[in-house]
Amino acid sequence: MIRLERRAYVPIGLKVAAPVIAVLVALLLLAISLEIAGFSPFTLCRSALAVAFGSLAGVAEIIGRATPLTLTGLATVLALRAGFINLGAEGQMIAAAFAALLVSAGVLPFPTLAVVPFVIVTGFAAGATLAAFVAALKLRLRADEAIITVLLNVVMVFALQLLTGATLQSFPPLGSTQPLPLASGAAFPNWGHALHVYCEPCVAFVACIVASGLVHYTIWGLDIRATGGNPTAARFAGIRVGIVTLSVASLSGGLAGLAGAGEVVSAGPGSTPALVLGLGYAGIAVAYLAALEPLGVIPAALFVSIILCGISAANQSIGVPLALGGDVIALLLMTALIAHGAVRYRLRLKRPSEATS
Amino acid sequence: MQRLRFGGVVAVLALDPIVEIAPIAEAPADRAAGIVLTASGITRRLGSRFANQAIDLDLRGGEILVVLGDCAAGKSTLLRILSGYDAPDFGTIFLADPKQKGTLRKITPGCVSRASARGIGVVRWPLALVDNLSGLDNIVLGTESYWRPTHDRDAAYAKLRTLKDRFDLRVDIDLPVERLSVGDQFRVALLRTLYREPQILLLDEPTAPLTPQDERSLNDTLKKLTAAGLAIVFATRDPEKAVAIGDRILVLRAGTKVAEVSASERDVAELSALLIGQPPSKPILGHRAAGDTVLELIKIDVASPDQRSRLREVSLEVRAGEIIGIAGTAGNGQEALAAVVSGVIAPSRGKVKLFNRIPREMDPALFVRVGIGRVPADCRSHGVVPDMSIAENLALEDIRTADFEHNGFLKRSAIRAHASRMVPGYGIDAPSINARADALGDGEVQKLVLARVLDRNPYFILADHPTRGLDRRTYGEVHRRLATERGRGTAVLLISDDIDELLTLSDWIGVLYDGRLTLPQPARAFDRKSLGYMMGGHGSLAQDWSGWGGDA
Repeated sequence: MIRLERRAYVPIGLKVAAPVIAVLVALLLLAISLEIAGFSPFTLCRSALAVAFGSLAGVAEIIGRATPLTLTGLATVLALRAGFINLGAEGQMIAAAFAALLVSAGVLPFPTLAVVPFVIVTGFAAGATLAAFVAALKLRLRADEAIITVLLNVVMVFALQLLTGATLQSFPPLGSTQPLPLASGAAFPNWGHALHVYCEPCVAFVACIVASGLVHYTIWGLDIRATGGNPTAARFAGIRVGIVTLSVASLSGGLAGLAGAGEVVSAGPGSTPALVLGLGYAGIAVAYLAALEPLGVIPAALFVSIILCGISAANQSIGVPLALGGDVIALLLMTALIAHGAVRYRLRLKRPSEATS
Repeated sequence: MQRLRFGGVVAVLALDPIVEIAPIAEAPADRAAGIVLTASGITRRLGSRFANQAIDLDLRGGEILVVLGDCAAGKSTLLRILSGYDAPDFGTIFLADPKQKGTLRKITPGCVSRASARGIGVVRWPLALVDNLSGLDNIVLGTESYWRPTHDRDAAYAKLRTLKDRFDLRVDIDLPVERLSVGDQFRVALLRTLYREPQILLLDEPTAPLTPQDERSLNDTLKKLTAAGLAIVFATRDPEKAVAIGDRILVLRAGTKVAEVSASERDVAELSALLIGQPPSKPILGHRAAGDTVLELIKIDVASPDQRSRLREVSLEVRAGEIIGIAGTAGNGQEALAAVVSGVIAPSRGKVKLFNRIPREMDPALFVRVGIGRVPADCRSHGVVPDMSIAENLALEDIRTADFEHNGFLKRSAIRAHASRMVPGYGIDAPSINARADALGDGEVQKLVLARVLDRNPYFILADHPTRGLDRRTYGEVHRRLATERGRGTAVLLISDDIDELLTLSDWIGVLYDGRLTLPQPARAFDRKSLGYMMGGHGSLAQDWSGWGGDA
C-alpha cells in the first residue's frame, strides 16, 4: 500500500532536487506543446544555448533580463515568508516605472547626475507605498492581500493604458525586446544603460545574499518566519505581527519597485512603463522555483531568463511566438508549486514484512 | 477540520486503498454467535511507531466494550479504523450481515460511507456540528436525497421524538447548536448518529468535556441503548469510568493490546497499573501563606459578538504562592479570560493590574518581559510555529534577550544548546531539535510549550487547560511541576474543566459560567459533585458577597 506521510524535516538535497525536477517536467511539457504547435523543441533548445554560451552579448542579455526577475522573485519570497501573499509585484513595478518616468521626464530641474539615483529611490518608494497600503488594509480590515494585490495589478495596467493611450494588444509580449515609444523628454544620461548593465545585477545579487542572511540569522528574520508560519502563536509569543507585516510588505514592494525603476532607467529616453509587463508575474514563478529561499532566487531567475532569451532568439530564427514566454512561466509556476508542496511529504511503499516486523 | 484536529505524530493522508470486492468470508462459526463485529490483526503505523499493532477484538450486540488507554495508546486510531476514517495497514474487519443471521461479512477498509451504511455510527470530539444550523438540520444533514424538492421534516421530527423519549436524550433540536450548552451539543451529535440507525456505536472519549451531571445522564442513555441491542465501543483513559460502565475492558498501551478483561474482574488500581506500569503519584500541596498580589483583575468586561467569549464584571486576585483554579466547561468565557491574562486582548472595561501597576498597554511582549508564563489552551495553534524548528520554538519567547540575541542577530548555537538541554530535561519526545515543530504530536507540543514557560522561572503562570491531551504519566508530571512552582512562590492561574485537576491543585476555586466568575472559595469547600453542579450553571452564579459583613 502506498501512503503519503509528512516529513519531520526536508533534507537539503531534496530541497535542491525538487525545483530541478519541476524544471525538467515543465520543459518536457513545453517540448510537447511546441511539438504540437509544429516547432522543433530542439531548435528552441539550441537557440537558448546559443544565446547563453554563444557570445558575451548573449550573457549580458541573460543577466540583464534576470535582474528584474531576481528582484521581483526576491520580493515575492520575502513577502511569502512573512505570510503576506504579495502577488502584486507586477502592479508595484508598474507604479514604480510610472513614478520613475514622472520624475525623469524633465519636469523637475535635476542635474543629470542626480536623476538616476533619484529615479531609483522614487521607484523603490512607489512600490513600497503600494504594498504597504495593501498591508494596512490586511491589518486593519482583515482584507485578503492575495486578492487585493492581484486586482491592483489589473488596476495598474488599466492606469497604464489610460496614461499612455496604449491598448493591451499593442503591448509587447513577454520575451520581446522592443519597448513601446512614449513621448517623454526623459533626461537620462548615456551611462544610465551602463548603470543598468553593471550595477543593477550586482544590487540584485547582493540583495539576495543579504535577504538570506536576514531571514535565517537575524531576530527580524525569525520574526518574519514566525509571523508567516503561525501569526497567532507569533503574536502570543510577543512578536509585533503588525509591524513585521507592514515592514516586510514595504520591503517587498520596494524591491519590485526597484526592478521597475531599473527597467525604465536602462531603456533610457523614450521608454515606457509597459516595458515591465509580465516581469512581476514571472517573479512568482521564480519565487516558488527558488523554494522560497532568497539564495535560490539567483539560479531560478537566471534559468527563467535563459528560457525567455532563448524564446526571443528562436522568435527571430524560426518564428516561435513570443507569447510562449507566458506559457513557460505558467508551466514553471505550476510544476514549482507542486514540487514545493510535495517535498514536505514522503511516499511510503509498504511491504507486509516491514509493517509487521 | 477533523483531519486538522487529529494531527497526530505525523498527519497521514491515506491514498485510496486498492478497491476490494468484499467477498463473503466467514469467520469461524463458533465465535460468530451474537457477534456483530470482529476485527483481527489491526495494524496501523504512523511515522516510525505503531499506533495500533495486531489488535484483535470481538464485539457482541448489547454490550459495552471499553477501550482503555492513555493518550497516545492508539484508542482513537482504532476507532477511526473501525469507523472507516482511516484504513489499517493490515488486518480485517468483519461485520454481521443483517440479512443472514450469524454470518459475518468483510468490510472495505477506510471507507466511511460503507461503514456507515453497514451500521457503524461514531461520536467523537470535536463534534463537527454546523454551528449556525438548528439541531434538527444538523441531524438530518446528509440523510436527505438531493432529488427531493422538499424536506420531510414531520417524519424526521416523529422519528427523533421517539429516539429522544426512548433513550432519554432531552435537548431542544430547534435551536441553533451554537446556542446550546456543550452537553446539549453532545446530545445532538448522539441523536445525529442514532438517527441513522446504527448497529454499532463508537464513542471516542465522549465524556471528556462534559460535566458530571451530563456524564451521568449519558451513562443512563448508554444503558438504554445496549438494552435495545446496540453494541457500543467506548474509548476512555479513565479506569474508573471503564469499570463503571463497561461490560468488558480492552486495555491498550503504546498501540498494543495488553489485556482484555471483563469489567467485574479487575479493580481500578489494577487497571491503572496495566495502563502505565505504575500508578501516578498525586502532588501534595503543603500549607503556605500567600504572598503579594501578582495579578489583579478589577471588574473586567470583554465584549464580543460571540456569546461564548464574553466576560462580565470579572474580578480576581492571584497572589504569589497560590494556585487559583477557574472551573468551567468550554465556551463560558475561558477563552476571553485567558486572552486578557496573556495580554493578547484588552478588556473593554475594567482594569488589569500586574504587580500592583496598570500596564501601559496590553501587549503580549510586555507580559512575557515582566515574567508571566502563559500556557495556552490550544498549544498547537497558539504556542508553536509549525514551520520553525523545535529549537527556535523553544526560544521564541526569549528571543530578544541577551541569551539569544546579539546586535539583532540570532545566537544560533545558543538556541541549539538551549534546546539540547530542554528537550531531554522536559521529556519531549522529538526526532531532533532541528525537526519542524509540526513533526510533534499534540502531547509533545504541549510539553514543549510547558517547558518554555516553566524554564523561564516566571512569577506568574497562566495554565489554560495545561494537561489537555496529555498521557497519564505526563499529566502527573505537569501537576507535580505546577505544585513545585507554587512551592517556589509562583502565582498560578489554572483554567480547567478537569474536576480532579482543579480539586488536586487549587488553593482557591472560582467557577466561570456564562462570562461571570464566582468569588473564589477555598478548594476544600468543594467536592466533585458540587463543583460539577456549579460548572453546569447551577448554584449561585453572581459573585456571592453574602459572606461579607454577616448575614443580612
